[in-house]
Amino acid sequence: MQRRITTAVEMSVREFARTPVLIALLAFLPVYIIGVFVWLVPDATVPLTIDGTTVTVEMGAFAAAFMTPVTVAILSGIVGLFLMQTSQMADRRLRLAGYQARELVTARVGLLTAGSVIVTGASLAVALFAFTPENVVAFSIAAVLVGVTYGILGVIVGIVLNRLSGVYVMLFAPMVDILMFQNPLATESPTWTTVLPGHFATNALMDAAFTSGGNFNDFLAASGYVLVLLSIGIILFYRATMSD
Amino acid sequence: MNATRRIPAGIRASTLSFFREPLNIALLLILPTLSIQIYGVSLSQFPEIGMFAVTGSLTTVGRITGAVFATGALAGVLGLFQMISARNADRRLVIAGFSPSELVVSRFTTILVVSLAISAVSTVTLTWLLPGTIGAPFIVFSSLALAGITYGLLGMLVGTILPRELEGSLVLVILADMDNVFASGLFNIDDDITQFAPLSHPHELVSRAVVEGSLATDHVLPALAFIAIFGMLSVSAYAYTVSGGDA
Amino acid sequence: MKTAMKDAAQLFVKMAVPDNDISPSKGKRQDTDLVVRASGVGKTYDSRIPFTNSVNVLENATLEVNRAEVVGIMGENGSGKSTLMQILAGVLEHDAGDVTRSGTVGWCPQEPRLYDRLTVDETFELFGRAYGMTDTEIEDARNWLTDVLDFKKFHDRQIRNLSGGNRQKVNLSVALMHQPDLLLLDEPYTGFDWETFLAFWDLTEELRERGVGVAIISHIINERDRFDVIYELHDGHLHRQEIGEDDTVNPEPTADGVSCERTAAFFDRDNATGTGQRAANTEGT
Repeated sequence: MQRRITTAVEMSVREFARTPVLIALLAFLPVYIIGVFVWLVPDATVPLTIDGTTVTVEMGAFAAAFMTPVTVAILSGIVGLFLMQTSQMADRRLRLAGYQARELVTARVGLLTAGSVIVTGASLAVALFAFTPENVVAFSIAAVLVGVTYGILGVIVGIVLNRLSGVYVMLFAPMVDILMFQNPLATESPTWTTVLPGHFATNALMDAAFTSGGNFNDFLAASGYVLVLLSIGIILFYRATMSD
Repeated sequence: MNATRRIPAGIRASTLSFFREPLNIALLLILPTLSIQIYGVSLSQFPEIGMFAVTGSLTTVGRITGAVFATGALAGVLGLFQMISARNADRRLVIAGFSPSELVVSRFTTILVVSLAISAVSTVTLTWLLPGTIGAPFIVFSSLALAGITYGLLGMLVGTILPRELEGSLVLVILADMDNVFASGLFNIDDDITQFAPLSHPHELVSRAVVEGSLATDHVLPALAFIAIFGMLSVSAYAYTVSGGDA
Repeated sequence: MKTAMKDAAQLFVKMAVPDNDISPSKGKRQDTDLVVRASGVGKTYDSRIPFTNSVNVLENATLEVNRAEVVGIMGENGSGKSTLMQILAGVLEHDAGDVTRSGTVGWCPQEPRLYDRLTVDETFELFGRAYGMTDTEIEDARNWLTDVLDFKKFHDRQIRNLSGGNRQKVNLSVALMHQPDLLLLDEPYTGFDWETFLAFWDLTEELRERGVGVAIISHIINERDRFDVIYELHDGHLHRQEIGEDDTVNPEPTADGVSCERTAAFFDRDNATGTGQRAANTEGT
């Protein structure tokens, strides 16, 4: 069983490694999305509302911090989607050939986590080049949580929707969720925005960037969100590779 | 068959292909409403302190931004997929007797037709969702059409350079998203910079038409210039593809 | 190529000795010769769009494949052959009837369900692991099949860069590399050149001699003589014909006493729903 999992992981790593255009985009987009904003925003300060307190920060630092979860979410979502889309039909055949669902799940979850961590790493590298968060460790953990959340969402969307619809949902969802509704510039966010997938992780991230970074509850809630999504994803994956 | 019959046949075929794809219809019906509403709600969260260089309420600005974005993104997606899906079939049509220039005309007319349809849907949706009456509805429609055509052409360009569904969509949507953030004024970036964001001009045209009922004359030329540039680039790229220039 | 075939056949026989058994269910083999039996199988594709009709693809279809038997499944385009085969393979649920299998299954779908960006070698490795084969077994199977089907020189190429015919060779190889008891082949020779086509039938002959039950979806009328039994699928019903007895297809559907009446199919469904899927689930685990 151990060897079958490693084989499955190894093969999906190879498949992913053979998409040079996608990999180049995943590497370049953090520089573009985060970099362009940091470079272009005016020299001014903005008032942010984080966990009920208002802090005033440099516009450039805000752009670097806030565009990080946006970038991480989009790119991880695409990685999750790609994982499902390249393999769904063949996974069924692999199941028939003898792979157990839990072996395939272990392999795919492992790879998804690795993928999310890598794209998060790329985004963090760009962001940390532009500004220094109050708490670097907490900032990085929060960014990884955003990545894993959206990575799993990408997998779920990849199973539920067809190829193209999935791509569009995963391209628009992070923008709507994080850029628009988890924006700390906002002072009057409707309460329903707190149930969106990016809420707790983005909160934790902005907290780590500009205030204490010690809001343990945000991390706990974000991890809980990841676990719930992961369970849903595993159930769907199991069903999708069982039969048509 | 002569060109006067071939071109309408080409336009009809590609327009039908667009409307027979359920995802396109779903996007056409849902995206403008969704985008206008989401942007409206989203911008109303922000405090109305001089952060935005806007006239009118933030909700109105948000809805205008949403309409411009939806129109551009939809037309862009159409242009992208027209290029990807038609790539090989188009080359076959050339062998069957279409001249590349006839195909170019029919493809671009299709983009035009569908962009106008999308703009009409966006205009109607915007009129319906905005609280007051729109100052100059026809200017709103024409300006949205400018946004649609700009992105339709850009989508064709991306589709020619990067003819893959996933990667092409990624590039196009990121471009549209970023462009739109610049155009919306969310980050209060200098006008000297934002004028290079293609959507900033249609955005300004729509805003002025909605709020003041007038034409923002200084933005007409830049908007047309973007169309001319993207048009030239995508026509050459497309002609190159259908004439068998690459594999 | 001919000697290669012979070597391969010997290797194949060698690999097929019982102590090389890789199948968990093989030991439970009944003394019957049956490798798969579908009885009274029904399948309807529900429409996802409202106000459009759902499609009845199979009604009360009954079919058997025995050891050392080559069965042909024929029928016009869209008659449900691939649906039937997917149900036999256990990858598609059915609405009514029973499917029972004994032994391991090798399934070669019409559309190669392979990983586009893996090479031929990697595909063998991955599916070999899935079948529970050892490295040596995987390598032997790969050498044998790339030799017989003549695609050794493409071993390092990614699936997406293979020609249609070569992709089909990989597709077929994945289905039989573990020497299954039942082989289900959905138009396996699409895109094959003449040499490969002949090699394919030699291979099928070897498999039959070894006792494998083979079901092949085929369009080629000229190939009728190569089958022991032919099932014709027409309007959702199967008609059985033994080759060599008489030339005409039995006009009666396979399930005795039940003709084309839909009521009969619906009646059967009440008794039988779900049992086939259970059979499918117990396999390969």
